[in-house]
Amino acid sequence: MKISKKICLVGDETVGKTSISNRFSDNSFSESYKATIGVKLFQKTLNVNSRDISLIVWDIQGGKEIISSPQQYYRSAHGLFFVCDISNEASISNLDFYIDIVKTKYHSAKKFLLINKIDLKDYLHNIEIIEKKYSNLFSGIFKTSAKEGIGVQEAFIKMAESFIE
Amino acid sequence: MNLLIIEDNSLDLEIISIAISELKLNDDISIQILKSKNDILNFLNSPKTTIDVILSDMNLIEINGLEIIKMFKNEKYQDVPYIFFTSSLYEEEVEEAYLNGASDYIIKPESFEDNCKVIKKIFEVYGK
Repeated sequence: MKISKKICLVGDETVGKTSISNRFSDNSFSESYKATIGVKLFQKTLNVNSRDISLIVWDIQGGKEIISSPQQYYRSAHGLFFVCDISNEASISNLDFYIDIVKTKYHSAKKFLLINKIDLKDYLHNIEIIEKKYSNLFSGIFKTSAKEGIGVQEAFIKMAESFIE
Repeated sequence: MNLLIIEDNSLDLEIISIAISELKLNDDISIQILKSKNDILNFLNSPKTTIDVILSDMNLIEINGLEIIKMFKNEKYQDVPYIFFTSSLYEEEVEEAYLNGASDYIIKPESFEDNCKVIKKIFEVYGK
């Protein structure tokens, strides 16, 4: 039997949610930036431990307003990827805000943190700080670069695995 | 910017129009509104006009938004960004919208202020 799960990406604008989605979806990356408005959605099936898991990925417009609004983009999400950008301090500090919202509204969803843009070598020192602060709050933390294709597939596979553990 | 709005709800139309006027956007904005299936058919049967963005409801009384996008994408407006701006959020509908060539799928915010923010964002992304 095929399992179907709704996965949402959470985080500030420009942290790379769409790039992560595209990397997972079709292994592509574009240097040009186009802000997501509303939601983009795609489906991809992974085979994990001999079971097909269909991930419906909701790439949702970034920013605090969307997740705290009464709109239903995140409704019934089974999994949440929180995304921050190691070169963007605000995107890191804003994780606290997103975590607080999720605690009350989407507490039952599986939660993973993606520390994105690790190809920006000047900011690698932030990784340890983020990992130390958030290690207890997430089921897993992944260092990713959507640009270079690092860590993205692994994160989605881990998310899928978490549904059959 | 030449904006085509497909919407049959007068209140929603008013909100969009006021939001656009309140934003005091620098662009020269031309707005065409289609309120019914008949309006849509007449528009598509008329000579092609310049449209930069289409902002469309999903649930018009006479016709479903998915039927409308198919009509536009099969016709002379296939390259025009088609944005759904709607109150409904059903996974199948969002999937179908993108399969049929939608550029964005946006849920109508409840507050006027948030509507302004969305409209502003659309102009930022699609404005020339």
